[in-house]
Amino acid sequence: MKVIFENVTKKFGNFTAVDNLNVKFKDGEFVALLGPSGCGKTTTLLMIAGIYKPSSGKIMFDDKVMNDVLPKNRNIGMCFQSYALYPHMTVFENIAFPLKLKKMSKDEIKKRVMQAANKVEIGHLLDRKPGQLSGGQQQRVSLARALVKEPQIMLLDEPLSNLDARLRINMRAEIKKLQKDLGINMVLVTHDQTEALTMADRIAIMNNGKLQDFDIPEELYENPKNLFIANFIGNPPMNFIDVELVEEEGKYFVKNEVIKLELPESSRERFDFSSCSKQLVLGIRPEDLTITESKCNTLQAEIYVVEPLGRDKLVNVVIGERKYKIIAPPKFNADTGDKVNISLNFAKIHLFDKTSEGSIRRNRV
Amino acid sequence: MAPVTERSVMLERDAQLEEKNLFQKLKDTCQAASFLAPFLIMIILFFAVPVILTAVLAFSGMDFKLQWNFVGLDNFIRILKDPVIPQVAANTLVYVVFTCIINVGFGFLLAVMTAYFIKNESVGLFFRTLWLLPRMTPSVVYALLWIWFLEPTENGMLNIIFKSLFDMQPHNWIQDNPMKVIIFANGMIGASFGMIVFSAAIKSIPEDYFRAAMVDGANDFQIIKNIIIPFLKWPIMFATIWQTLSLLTSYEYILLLTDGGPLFDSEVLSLFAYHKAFANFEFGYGAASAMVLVIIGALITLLMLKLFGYERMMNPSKLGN
Repeated sequence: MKVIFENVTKKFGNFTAVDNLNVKFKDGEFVALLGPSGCGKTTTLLMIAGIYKPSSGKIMFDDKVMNDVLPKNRNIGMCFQSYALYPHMTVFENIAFPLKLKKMSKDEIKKRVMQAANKVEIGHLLDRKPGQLSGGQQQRVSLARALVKEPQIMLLDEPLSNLDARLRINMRAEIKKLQKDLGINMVLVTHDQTEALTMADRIAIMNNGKLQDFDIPEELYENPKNLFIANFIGNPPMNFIDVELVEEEGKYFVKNEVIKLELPESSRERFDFSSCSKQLVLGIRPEDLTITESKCNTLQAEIYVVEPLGRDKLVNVVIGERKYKIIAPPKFNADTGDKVNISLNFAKIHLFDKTSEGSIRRNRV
Repeated sequence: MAPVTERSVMLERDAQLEEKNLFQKLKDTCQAASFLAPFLIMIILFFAVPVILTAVLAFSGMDFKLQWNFVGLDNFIRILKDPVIPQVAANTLVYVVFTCIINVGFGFLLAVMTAYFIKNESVGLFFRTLWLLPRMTPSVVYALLWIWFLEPTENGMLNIIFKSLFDMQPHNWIQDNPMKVIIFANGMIGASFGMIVFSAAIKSIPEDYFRAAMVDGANDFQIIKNIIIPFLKWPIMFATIWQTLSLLTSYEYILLLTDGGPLFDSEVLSLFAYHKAFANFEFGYGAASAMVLVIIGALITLLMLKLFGYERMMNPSKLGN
């Protein structure tokens, strides 16, 4: 089933929670709505569910306008951050609740509850009350309750944020597998970029009620469209340096009070220098910085602190007044205060206009 | 050297504390007592003493001469034999049960209306305040309003309404339906209590449960049945016990509306005790009737707490996780 937003705006009083959203989810797609809290992602989800009505614009499932369709007639399954399991019902009754409301026969209900429960491996817990279950088990029950209706679309509202770190990693994979097996649409709301990047086919990244970009995870990571996306996606986050673009003898340089770097020839193909302003923000991911011996076209930095991460080391350095993060191989060793040179992988740098915050990258054909 | 200094200071303080311990305990006790004293004195003066006096009085034949002549169980035997007692007991039962049903049931309905159906907080608050007005009005004024409303002449408001609608002759409402009138009047005013308790409880149900139920396909009625009522089990129980007890002992609206009449048609046990003591000046007999009421109240409380499971109610929050 396709889910289409056409100029959808949702206002609460004077506050615009979702601002002119235009987006199209493909049939059977796993979409993540990603953004900081208050960005409008949950509002968007609740509009798909029919709990909120858009103030203007249209929401369509395939060709059908859904604006005025009640939640119960939308054939959706939903999981909540709090799980929202009915505490006075057993696990069986919880899962059976949507079917009971549909007035299905007892045998049919039993059959389908067992199916759904086995799918998420909670068949042995059916007699318990939610209060007697662990967080992970409650999570599975809420998944089963959503699945038992055989919905066309599953909505997940921060489903993993109440689980402990290890369980979260397991459930991430399981939910993704479930979605692939069932082939239904899933929409995941999360503020955790790792969840979005690992689980979703495509990510709609939102900020202040506006859609920033809607693309596959790799593309958002490799080619962020603006400063917000560059800053939000990636862990540890991208490093940013305020620079000025200057042209000297046919070569482009970026510089500020403490640094001056020459941009290679190839960057002219990637970036549009002709029409951009001179005040830029240079962005580079920690893994695209290397600590070297060479002093040629590098940054001079001082070690601030080194954090071993196991697989590699996270080196915090100071350039001028500001701190930057670098991923270094595990064998790297340095003491606080050591002077080092840092080279940039110029093929991976990002340049953003300081005022408009948009990338000055050329659009690819 | 810093940690050592810190540690020595701590040790010194511990020693001082030890020394102070006994003195401190005494001081703490005195302090607590002084905070409790005003309330304790009030309770002793206005509750404990009257209760004991009433209990003692119940075994005396004190009348308007105010003499303590102890008569043993005579008063209680007299209650058992009193020809009006069966009617009074039946009235009490009807009054308490039906008023309680209106109080809790209508209170629940009002709460659902103002806290669930009306999503706008200030509109809901407005209607709740409206329903609280009678409670803020002095009882006498409230009762007078009912008396005017039900006035038996053709100028009574209800009579005017019925005349214009059905062309009915004036009706003496209070005289003809004394129990219905007092139950209705008491129910209307008592409902605001349940309304406040229940609407607060409804507001405290996490929004996710309503959303989950809506997505699961529940309509408003099913949400009330499957979400609101189960979540409100404990507040409903609390309101029921509370209202039962206060209805058993309250008689002011009955006194003002019908004064138990006509004859004994709307006399309840608490009003009976009042009449015996302060109308007939049979203080001993009145006290004995009041004692019976206290015993009934205590029994009902115990029974209800047992029935609903008091310990479970006192457990930590039943909401959410």
